[in-house]
Amino acid sequence: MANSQEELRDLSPEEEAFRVRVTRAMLRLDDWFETMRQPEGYGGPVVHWWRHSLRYTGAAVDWRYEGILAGYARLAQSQNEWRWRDRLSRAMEDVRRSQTPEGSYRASRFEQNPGTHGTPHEAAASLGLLLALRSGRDDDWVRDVVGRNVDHLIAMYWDDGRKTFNDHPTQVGFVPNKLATLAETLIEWGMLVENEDYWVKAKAALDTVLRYQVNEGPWIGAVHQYAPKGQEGDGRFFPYYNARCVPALLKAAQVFSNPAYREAAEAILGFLDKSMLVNGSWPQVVYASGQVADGPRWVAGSADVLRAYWLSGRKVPERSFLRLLHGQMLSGAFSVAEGFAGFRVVPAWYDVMPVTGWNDKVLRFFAEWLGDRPLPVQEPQKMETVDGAVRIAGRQQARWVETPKKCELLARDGTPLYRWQKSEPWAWVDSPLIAEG
Amino acid sequence: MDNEEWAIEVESGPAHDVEPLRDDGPHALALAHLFDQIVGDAYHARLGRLCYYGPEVMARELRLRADLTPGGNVTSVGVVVLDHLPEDLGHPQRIYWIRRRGKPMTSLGPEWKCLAETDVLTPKVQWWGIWIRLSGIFNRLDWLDRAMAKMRREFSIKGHGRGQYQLSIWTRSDPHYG
Repeated sequence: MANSQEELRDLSPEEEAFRVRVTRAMLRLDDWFETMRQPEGYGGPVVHWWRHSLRYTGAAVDWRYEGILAGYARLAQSQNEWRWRDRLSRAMEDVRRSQTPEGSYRASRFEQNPGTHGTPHEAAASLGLLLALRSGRDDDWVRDVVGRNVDHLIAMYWDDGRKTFNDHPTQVGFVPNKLATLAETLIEWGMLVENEDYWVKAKAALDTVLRYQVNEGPWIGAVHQYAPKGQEGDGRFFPYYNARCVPALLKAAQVFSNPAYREAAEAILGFLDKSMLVNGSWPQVVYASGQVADGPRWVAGSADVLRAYWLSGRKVPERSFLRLLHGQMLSGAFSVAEGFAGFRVVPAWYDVMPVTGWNDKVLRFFAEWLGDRPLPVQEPQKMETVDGAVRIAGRQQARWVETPKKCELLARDGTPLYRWQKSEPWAWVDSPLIAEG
Repeated sequence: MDNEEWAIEVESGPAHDVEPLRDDGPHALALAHLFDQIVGDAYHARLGRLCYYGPEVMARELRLRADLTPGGNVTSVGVVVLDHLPEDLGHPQRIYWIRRRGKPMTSLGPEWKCLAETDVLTPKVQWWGIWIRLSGIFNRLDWLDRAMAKMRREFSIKGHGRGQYQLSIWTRSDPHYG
């Protein structure tokens, strides 16, 4: 990741101090991840812009495994320490054991868990497995598992008439950021099995991404979120999802020796520069009309945006990096967002939910950013109990508690509203309003 | 999958003559709400089996969740029933009764008490559906996103209401039953 010259360079005291800060943050995050383990894998509730999955809290093989596998693989590769190899092996096993006979992964729909056939989640988990092999591992079974999953995805979503992938097995419609994740998986898989047929499909997916990139006007560089019926883009530009397109485009530029993909990635970064807010965050949606959906502004998820800058060789925006670090909670997890229910001093409880499928992005970014140098801090950092005021249902205040064993939302009089023992696959929810409000 | 031996078992009861629920658009979301609540409660009640009375096409959603859920005592049974109760329910510890709007609720008798009622796909959802259609007419995607968020927030509420579906969860009045 970091080039060899960068690795040899002496760091200034300020740079060294910042590395210490990032390392400590990553080790605290790692300790928190350990509290999210269940026998079948990493569990926990999900909050998202589209909807939440707060009742089902069992293990799920969605995009959380992309960041967890890629992050621990990077640490296993760069640091000669058993704990990273151990975490990596265990996460790889989670994915293997979750595979269904048809090649799908169990509970792979993130905000729609515990559903299966999640896009881009299954491709993302397979990508995580492929990146795990980069750490020097040679697990033959990865070929079987990823091969079954990739062939299953192609069988379900490849549209032979349009020569690209739909987002649904029976409906025509494209989601560019999901196509980018799938393309990256197909590129890696094609390299591993030395079969260029997969590259043909990866190029087709990325060419669809390019088709929905704006070429002129105020939103030049931005990529539409969705193209219903495979026709025009929908005029919604999500900075976060735009950033998710960048790694695949950069990889394709390199593997296929095609500068057009790099230019597309650079244009997306131009849109990210333009849409960045003063505090280093990004709005949720910028509409072609100029309207903006301001919140929620991702905190943990912003690691994917910072990673897009970093992969492109640009400087990671400092205020965004500091904002991300500031978003770490006492538990070691990073808050999901700010502004799920408006921007006030007391956060909404969705803002502070501990979500593995957002925090994996932070783990991966930090592990890659820290590079091959030995970590300046070695000793584990322990999670601490979170106990603070949150808002529910608008202005009403409640108390949010997270310990290594449980999460609880309590009304002001102490009445439980939501309770999740971290070892359990279902949370107890007092009211649907709590789950969806 | 590895967990088949320890998961909550789902068995289909005798033929139960009712129309399947719709599984498109908001109805698919309603099914997810209903079955999440049922299996989540069955887990916390430590049930080992769920006996399902309804169209087989819907049982898939129930099994999907039960397969991921450690089972309790195999003799602790919950009944999941759509619309009307069968004459012979056996001896369950829990009854999960899903009713479509307009289907009457009959008394289960003094040996049962209602633990929770949920109204799913509430009338407010239909109201927000008007906004969603208007946003299409005026090509205002920002309205659409806002209306969708409001719709999800009011999709299901606690208690008995006028939603498309009602779920009631019943337990034995006698805590020492079984």
